[in-house]
Amino acid sequence: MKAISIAIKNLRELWREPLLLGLLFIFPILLLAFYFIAFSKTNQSLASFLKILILNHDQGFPSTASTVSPAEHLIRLLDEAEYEGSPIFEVSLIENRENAEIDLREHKATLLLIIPEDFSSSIIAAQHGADIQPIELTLVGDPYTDNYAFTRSILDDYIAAFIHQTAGWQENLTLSYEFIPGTGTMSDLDFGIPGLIVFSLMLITMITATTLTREHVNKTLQRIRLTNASSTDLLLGVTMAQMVIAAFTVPFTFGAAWLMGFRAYGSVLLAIVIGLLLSLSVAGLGLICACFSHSDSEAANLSATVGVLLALVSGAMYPMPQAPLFTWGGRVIQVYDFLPPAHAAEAMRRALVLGDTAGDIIYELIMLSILGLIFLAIGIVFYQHFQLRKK
Amino acid sequence: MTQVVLQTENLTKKYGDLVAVKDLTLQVAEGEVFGLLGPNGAGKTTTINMMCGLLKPDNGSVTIHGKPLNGGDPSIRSRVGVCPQEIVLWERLTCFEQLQFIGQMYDLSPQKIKHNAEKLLEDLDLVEKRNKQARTLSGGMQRRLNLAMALVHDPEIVVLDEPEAGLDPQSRVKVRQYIQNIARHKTVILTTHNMDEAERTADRVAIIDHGVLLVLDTPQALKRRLGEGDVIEINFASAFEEATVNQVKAALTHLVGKVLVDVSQNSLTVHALDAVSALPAILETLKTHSLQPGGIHIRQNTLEDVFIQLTGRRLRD
Repeated sequence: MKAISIAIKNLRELWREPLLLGLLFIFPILLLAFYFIAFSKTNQSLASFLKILILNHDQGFPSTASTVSPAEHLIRLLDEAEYEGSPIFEVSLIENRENAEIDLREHKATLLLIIPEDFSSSIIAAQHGADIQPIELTLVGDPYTDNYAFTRSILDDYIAAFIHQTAGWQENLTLSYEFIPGTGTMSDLDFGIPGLIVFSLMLITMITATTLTREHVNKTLQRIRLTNASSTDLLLGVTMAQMVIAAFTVPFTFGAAWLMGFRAYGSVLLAIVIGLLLSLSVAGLGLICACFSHSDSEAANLSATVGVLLALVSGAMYPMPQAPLFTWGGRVIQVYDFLPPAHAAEAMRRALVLGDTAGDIIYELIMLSILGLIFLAIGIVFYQHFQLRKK
Repeated sequence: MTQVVLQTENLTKKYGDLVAVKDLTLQVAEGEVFGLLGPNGAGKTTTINMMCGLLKPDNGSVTIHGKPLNGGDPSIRSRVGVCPQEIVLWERLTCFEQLQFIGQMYDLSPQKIKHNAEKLLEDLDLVEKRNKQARTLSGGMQRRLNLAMALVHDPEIVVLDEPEAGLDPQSRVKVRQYIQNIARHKTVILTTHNMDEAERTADRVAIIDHGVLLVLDTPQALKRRLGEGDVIEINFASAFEEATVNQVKAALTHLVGKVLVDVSQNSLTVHALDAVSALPAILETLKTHSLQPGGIHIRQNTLEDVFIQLTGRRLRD
């Protein structure tokens, strides 16, 4: 009960401190805006982002040189497609699939259309009334890029209309969809938003550290210690306050991202749970920072450095290079496996962007819980030793 | 003495080589106002921090009603309310919220908290500021709220560390009246370096210096040790020589009988039972030694004089 009163007091104080509150909530939104400006596309024609690559394996058909093959016809059709006077697609012909996949992975293009060897001959045969096997066109892409679904649906319509028009087929055309290796790779934006939520959660380290340091410097901590409140009440109260802030931070940052156009495939509730688990580590880090700070500003600087550094190093904001340490239970354990934000970012991405369930990310959730408890325990031991021990 | 509510026994606290409090043994009786008097750095705050459980003594013990303060019984600790010397408030909580929070920390019921908090705000003239954040209050109001924080759980023993420090005259009067008021039904321990404050408020006074208890008695009894009566302070324009000092001392002692003569560089302090009657003869003696007084001040004996006698220096030194 006393822990709840302490948590309420801390939240009340934070609520009345616009600067700190603003930093906590506005800073991630500013970063979010930066992300969208940097990585999203606005006010551009469709062609500027409906970029398709075409790998034409078509062998053509026996004909005079002046005749345009159906494959070339399709390519020209796509290239010349317009909407309100502006091109719809930006078409590039490429020579091999490997290069195309690199472009797709780097988001230089949205889709790769592979035209099979027998495309033209099959259509010509169909035009001459032959009963032939359906031909297969392949579309390769990364389903988690921004424009995949949109591009695919427009392209589907164009191809279907072309086939119907040239071969008269309604159903004999098969469109095969493939994803580039490592399906689920994300755009900078997709990669960034969940990481940004984790980043905003790491900023709560600053709240814990400054709140506790202020209590210590202003001697209000002594006042609490004079009462019947135990150190468990105090630290539980502080942790609870952090968890409440985390529970608000996740939907707040997510909501801001949503308003800017980010769409999640997964559960926001699961993201909040991830945020709550991460807040255990955050509270622990805040306690540790508070042990070594002698003023508000010192606490803010130290905790912001620790929080931001951990968020960056753990790969929450940008992918980090592989850093394997050992293999355990068939899993390669990396340096990042010991950093809570790494698991939080991974879990957050998979939950929000890939739509994974709690069962799918159970490893991340367990690791987050274990690391959270370890960090919190270290924080509590440190704080008990450095600040609460009677001298 | 009536029932002892708080007792310290051989209380000792060291900070490195510095002995802040040394073998302090004292008893505080129920219902008394107990003054802990001493200059800054004498060990007063260290003593009360140990009395309320904030500091761990290196040696000795503190008991309340015979039970150890740090024995793990929270009800013992809640019998003490502490008003620290510094203003210790949460800047962004309102007056009522501060009192409410502390009440919650002492496990008081919401009804009890509300009743006690409202009464304290009224008694300390803070009703109008009930819903104002502490940071918006004047220094005097903050001090009064600081005092209220020590009382919200209705403790049996109230420890006040320099309660009048930093107060404007108006707030000082209010706080002093309030302390006198609570002293009617609570035991009050107050630390001060202000002799007037201690003399006016305390039933008994313990004078400590360099962490050591020098004397402990009622203010009247302490002053009697010097010889009841008056103090004549005579200032001179310039310092006088040592030979002259000794001659004057001898002459005045001969003249006024039981007397304390304190001759510092350019002043002379004479403690005597009836200094006013002796004054003409004293002046004549000075004239005999060719000493021309610059200013003469006659006052009653104070605890400061006791302190000077005990330590050879003033409280402010």
